[in-house]
Amino acid sequence: MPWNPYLKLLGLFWVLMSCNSASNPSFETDLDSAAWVELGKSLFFETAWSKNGDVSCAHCHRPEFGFSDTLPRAGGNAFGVPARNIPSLLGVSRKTLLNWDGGVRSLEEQALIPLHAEGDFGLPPAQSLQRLQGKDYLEKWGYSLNLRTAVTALARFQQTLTLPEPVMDKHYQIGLEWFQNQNCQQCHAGPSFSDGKFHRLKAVKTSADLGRYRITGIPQDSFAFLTPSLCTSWLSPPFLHDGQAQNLNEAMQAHGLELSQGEIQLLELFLQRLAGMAAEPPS
Amino acid sequence: MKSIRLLFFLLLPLLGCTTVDADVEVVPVLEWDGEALTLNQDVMRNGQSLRFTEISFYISDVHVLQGNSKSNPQSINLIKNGQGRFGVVLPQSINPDTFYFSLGVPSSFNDSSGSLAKPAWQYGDENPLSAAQNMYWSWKPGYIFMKLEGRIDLDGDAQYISAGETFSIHTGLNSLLRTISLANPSNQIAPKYALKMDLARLFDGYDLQGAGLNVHAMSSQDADFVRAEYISNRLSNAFYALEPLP
Repeated sequence: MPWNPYLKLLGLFWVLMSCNSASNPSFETDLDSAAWVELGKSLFFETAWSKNGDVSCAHCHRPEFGFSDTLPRAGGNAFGVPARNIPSLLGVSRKTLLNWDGGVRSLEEQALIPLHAEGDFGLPPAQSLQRLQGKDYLEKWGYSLNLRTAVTALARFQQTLTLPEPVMDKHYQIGLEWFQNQNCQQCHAGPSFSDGKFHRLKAVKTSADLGRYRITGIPQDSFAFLTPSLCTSWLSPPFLHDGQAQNLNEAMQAHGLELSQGEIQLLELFLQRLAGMAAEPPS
Repeated sequence: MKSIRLLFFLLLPLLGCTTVDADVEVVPVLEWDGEALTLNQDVMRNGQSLRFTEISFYISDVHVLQGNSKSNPQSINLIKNGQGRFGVVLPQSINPDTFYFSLGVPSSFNDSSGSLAKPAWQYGDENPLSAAQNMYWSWKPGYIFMKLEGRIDLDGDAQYISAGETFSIHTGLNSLLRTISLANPSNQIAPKYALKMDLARLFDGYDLQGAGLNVHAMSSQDADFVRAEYISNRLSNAFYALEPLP
């Protein structure tokens, strides 16, 4: 039988119907801002996403460490995606490009990374979504969850994670002055102490991780990585994109700086203040 | 929902007036060495047994030529695990001797800079371009054009249980979009064709061991890009014929 106009008509009807259901209008139109955030929070801490049922977004982005963790690296896979230090999610909505190499443009896209057969959850998105059906926090809305709704909700929740409120005491002022004198704000600029650009540290010359180059293909981007916000650094050591710096001294050496013990302590107190901590220096 | 139904019934008479000289349905048919191939079926290559567990790819920009113009707008079709089909709308008064299509997603939908193409997460889950189809790189903007996954008996023990006896070859990138042309085997247009894809031809000369087992070139800078390019360049050999179906 030819693929005639009648079949085409049926096809068009199917397309119209599937477009309607795929957009999941009930979910997307019924939720107010607070409900989106609530749904996103539930999904963020949901372990049923993962193949073994024991990994959620919070497995790596742990609230107690500024929505990061304290491992040097995580998140790589056998398919050429390098393992890297987990970035903090605090203040993530300020970023225009995400990940150390800027390969991701939005929080919604970022949420696709674990929701991927080769991603952290180890299942194709359709299977992950299937596992969530029947969850209380979904049942109360009466709609099934699709991928677009899921990543939108996850993004809305992460947008509420703001940077810590800095403690602006004398240690903050002393640290800021030193920081400015050293011209650190050339890269660690603005309210989040990041210029949102990609730089190559002096000590990071070659490694298997090509950094920004893998995204842009521009040779000058080799081994360049996104400037991290300093407001959250202290919350989740070790430091740098590959977690190679176990302490602040090693991090400064990677920047090509040899600091005195006094300067290191001054900088530690400054980073603590940026992270909202007000611990006094040891006597 | 009501508005959609209303739109459907409003469109109904208009669609009834549409005249198409010939619509052609194309059904991809997978083969290995000229024999029908199904998922999880053991086949032999260079004395080693292997089986495919996933064979998925995008077919887009299906067209014929009318003078110097393409016949119909771009379409993007996902053939998932060998299942799927697509159509060709022919212009009036044309009896093409060649059909053209691309293996992959056109650059206008696959903008690696991310500034032009609609993000994959914004499509409905059923759309071929939705990230829900698990054909999106995720770590950077862009689609996987073709996924070939399976198991290979590297140590010859007639099992696939030893470490490393899997393969996963994912190709993508705008530079690896390949246009394939296939001749219409007769001077008549058939309503339905089988599009023969022989995977043994695709792997001809490919080193399916070691680094060749896992290819995921998300970037032309990746070490495995050369392998992805090799496979992509074999596509015109793998898609080798159109055959009319009853």
